[in-house]
Amino acid sequence: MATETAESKSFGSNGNQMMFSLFDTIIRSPLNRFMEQAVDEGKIPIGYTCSYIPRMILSAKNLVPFRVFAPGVSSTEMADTYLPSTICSYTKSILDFAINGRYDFLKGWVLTSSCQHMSRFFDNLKHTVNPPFIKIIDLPNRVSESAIRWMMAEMNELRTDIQTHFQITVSDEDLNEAINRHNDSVQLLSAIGELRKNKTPVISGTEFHKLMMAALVAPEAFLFKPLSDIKDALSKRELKEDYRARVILVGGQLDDPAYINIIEQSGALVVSDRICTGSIPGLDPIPHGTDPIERISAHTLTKTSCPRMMDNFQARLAAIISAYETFQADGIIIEAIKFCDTWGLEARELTDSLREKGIPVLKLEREYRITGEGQLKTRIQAFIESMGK
Amino acid sequence: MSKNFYAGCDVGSTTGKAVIMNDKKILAMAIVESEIDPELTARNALLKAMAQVRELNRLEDMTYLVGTGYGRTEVPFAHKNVSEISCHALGAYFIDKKIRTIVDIGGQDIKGISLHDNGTVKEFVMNDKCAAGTGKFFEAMGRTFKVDLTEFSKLAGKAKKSISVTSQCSVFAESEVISLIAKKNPPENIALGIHESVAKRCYTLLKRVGLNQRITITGGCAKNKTLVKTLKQILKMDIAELSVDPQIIGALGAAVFAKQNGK
Amino acid sequence: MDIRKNIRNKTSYIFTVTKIYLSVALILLKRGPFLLIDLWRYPWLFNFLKLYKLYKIMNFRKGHFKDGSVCTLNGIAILITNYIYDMLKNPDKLVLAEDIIPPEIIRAMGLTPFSPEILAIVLTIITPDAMEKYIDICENSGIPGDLCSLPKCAMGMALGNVLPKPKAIVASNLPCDAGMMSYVTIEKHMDVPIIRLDVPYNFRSDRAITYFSEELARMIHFLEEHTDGKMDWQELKNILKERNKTQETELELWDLAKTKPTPVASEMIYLSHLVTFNIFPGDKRSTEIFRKLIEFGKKNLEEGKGAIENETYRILLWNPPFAHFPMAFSWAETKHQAVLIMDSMTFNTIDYVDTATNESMIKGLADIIMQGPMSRHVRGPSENYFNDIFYIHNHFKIDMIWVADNIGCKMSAGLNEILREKCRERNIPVLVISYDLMDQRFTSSEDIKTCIDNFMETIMTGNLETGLFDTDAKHMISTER
Repeated sequence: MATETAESKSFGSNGNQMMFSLFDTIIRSPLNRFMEQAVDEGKIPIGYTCSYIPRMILSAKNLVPFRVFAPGVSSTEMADTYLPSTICSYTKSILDFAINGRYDFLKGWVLTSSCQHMSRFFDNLKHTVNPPFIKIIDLPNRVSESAIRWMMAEMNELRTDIQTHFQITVSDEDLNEAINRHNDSVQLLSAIGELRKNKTPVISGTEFHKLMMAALVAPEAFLFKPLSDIKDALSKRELKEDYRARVILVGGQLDDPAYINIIEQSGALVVSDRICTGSIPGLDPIPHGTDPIERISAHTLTKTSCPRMMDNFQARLAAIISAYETFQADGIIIEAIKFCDTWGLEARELTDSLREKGIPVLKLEREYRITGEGQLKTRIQAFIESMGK
Repeated sequence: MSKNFYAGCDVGSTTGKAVIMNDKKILAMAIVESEIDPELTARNALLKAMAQVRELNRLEDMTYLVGTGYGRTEVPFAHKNVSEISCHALGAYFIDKKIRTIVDIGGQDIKGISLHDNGTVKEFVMNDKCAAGTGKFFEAMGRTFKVDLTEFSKLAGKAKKSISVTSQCSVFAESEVISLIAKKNPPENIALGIHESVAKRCYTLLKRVGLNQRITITGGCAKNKTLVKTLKQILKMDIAELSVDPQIIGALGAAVFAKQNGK
Repeated sequence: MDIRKNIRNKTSYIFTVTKIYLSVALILLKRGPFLLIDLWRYPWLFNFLKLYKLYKIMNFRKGHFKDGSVCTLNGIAILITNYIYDMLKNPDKLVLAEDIIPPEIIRAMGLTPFSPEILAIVLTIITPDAMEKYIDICENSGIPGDLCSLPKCAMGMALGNVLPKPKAIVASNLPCDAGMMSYVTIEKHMDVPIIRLDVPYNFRSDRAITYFSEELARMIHFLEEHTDGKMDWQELKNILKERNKTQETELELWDLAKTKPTPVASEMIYLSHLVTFNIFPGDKRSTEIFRKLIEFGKKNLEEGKGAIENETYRILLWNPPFAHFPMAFSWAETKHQAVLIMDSMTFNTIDYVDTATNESMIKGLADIIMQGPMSRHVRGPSENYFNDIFYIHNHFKIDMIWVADNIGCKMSAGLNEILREKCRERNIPVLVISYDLMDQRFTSSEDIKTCIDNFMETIMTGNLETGLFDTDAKHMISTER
């Protein structure tokens, strides 16, 4: 993975390179050392693919959630056998890794019907790998009271299935504990993310994304200390300001900080991100309440914002515009993995709507794996120039 | 004494191939560059092959002629036309009765074919809406390096390691390769990466029809030694080399059909 | 002899076509001088008026099968003309309903439904290039080209301003993500109130029926709020009772198709279903079409005849039929003695609707919508897909499966390989035909023919006729993207 050298240009020379090296290691391969340690301790790692899958349930008791990604994927010939060229490359990459045994450390999978690519991932994973525990969450395409009730039924079913299969009891108390841990973790990340609002931010988008990704693929418990250390270190960090523009990155699945690094190397500092593995709106804590299943269901359904939610285009647009203002951004970069139906159309509508409001937008189509770096840099540079920066 | 002559003519997108047989053996074979008019391609290939057979002077002297390949319907002097799928299967099986899986890499498509024990086609997939991994793809890639196909294969053969080229689409692959060259990557390593990407595409097609020993590769690109070697590595299986030019297998299959039909 | 036959065929063609044009004209001319304005505003009407092209199918047919085919085409022509006429006549009652939203409720509320997707399909069946212009408008506006061309047509027609402005839009998350997302664009462009119905992924449960019944209640409420429509439960009961009758009649038709050789086939099965159940369900005219078709089938049966002479292969077509190549089946009958028995768009009939109470009607409708064309197979886990395929294969004595692999349909393409492996286990030949549902520029009818020819030659008949090999094994073949 190119992230070893991915210290952003802005901060490269101030002696802080070592700060993120732990996080670089964590996200270099699926089975990172913390996950390995957890497995050795008898924990149960469960793979999941989408922000609509509540990781709090998957971290209750001795469960450990793992957000499935395919770092360093080069080609996907095994997955190509099963999936046509019109299926998104994230789907293909993780199926390929799965068939090649790269996720064999996982004891189970929880997927969701979030999009048709993911639905077919479920079918093909079951057909090829047939994991001992595999569950697909039936996710409504709307956010409403009845949808939350539906989601609660799904969550209860998930809890029952987990209990039966792994022979464990997941009590309400266990779930409340998991929620608290989750809240602590996101609040810590959120506090770091807040620093990006500064006129002279102390952390680049690339660096922040490394933290986000690590938090999604390594057990929470191991990361509190390193994340707190980073937070403290950042307050003493000095900055060299040589970026030309501040941008917000918007799009779907993006789990490789190297992509953000290319954007930043071209002069556009990514100050906020509305991507599946990003800070908007993933870092909101779960509110207090009594029934943990209800809290989890309502939070997951209302706080995650994907184009698949039919009624919420205006809300998504508003969230982006609000971030544009709070983070004092100059422009917005929208990235969508090729063949993604939901983001493909959303990107077009967002672009139009944002431009109507006078906000500069660059729309990019990409592969899951980084390709065409040269072209990408040219486009970013031209975008910065077009903003008069 | 038998004076029967059977011919198969494979009118492909980049070359035309002809094979002439009598009741006992293969008498002649020829490969010519394709013309715009498939009929002319077929005529050229047949005439070139006929020139090697003393008794044959006119196309009409042919006892039975079978056309195959992309331009097969445009060969008016053929008695019958048969799809290249059947012909490649039959041609390969005619040479080696143990062949069960074939990958044919032609100028504009790749096919994976699996055979029953008796040589009939069992399953078949074709990659026909995209140039990725075809002869045309190799040509385009070779052009990027300013070398011809043979040189391109040799170049890749020299590589110590490969740099992966992942774009499935030949248009994108070309720009990916250009940026890799611009980054001063050793050309031979990129060339090997390109060969690997084609081999992986073949692998996918072969998997779809079911991989059974013995496997062989036909079509013009079968002559590309680096490709065959790379495919062997990816398949982790041996690839049987046929005793005749792999490029004429389709035409040979057609000639065998002609022999069966003309008797 | 041949000349006489030729003249007879031509005369019968001209006679049939003239008759149908008169009927169509009688309906459309009710618009009076407004028809001219309609033609100017909705240029696709000209494509519709090329109906005669579709009737060429009859030239391939003989006997009662020919009569049945003409009967299907006539039924369709009249129903669609009425559908378009209603749309033109009732701008104040117009509700744009995505193709999967059945019109029963909308009609029971005294409103007029119309679906751009259904228009697009019908127009493409009549003139293969009808939608190219709108697909281009759509793609040129920045909408990704890899989406299914059906929602691209709907968006293109909306962006091209050739659709009437409705009072409200009813959309949903069916049948696929592209279909769902297309209504973001359509809503924005048309700027009318919209409601989107949410169908669960696992739709085969009581929980799903309850959830979706609530969605339908929400839709009724929305339409009452935003249009002049008012729910008339008695009218809904009448519609659903008739719908049950239509369904009963259709099942009788399917029973005939189980016979070998089949006395009914092709358009009699798939086009009749497409138009009746999607455009005019619960309408006496729909039931009547099936009744007539059954008569023709029974005549064949009594005479011991199949729809085609020498029926050799029975086809199950999976995924939507090639809209831009409706002649595919009549061609396959003549060229390969292969006859279309059943297809996935038709095979979605479920239990009759219980019309006892308002609640039971809504529940019944909820079940029907959730299992509507496409959604029944492409939504939910793949069992929905495979169970139906192998049931049909067995029930209708199918010889081969043709997968109409619409390039934009990622949901079904993602199952092609599993299907191939499952068919390999069962020794069922399967042909995957790569094409674009609405756009012949991707795969032309000639390309489709070549693909089928290759399959038939190599796998179904091929090696046998050369006499080289002594096997009668059935095999598989497909072309890939």
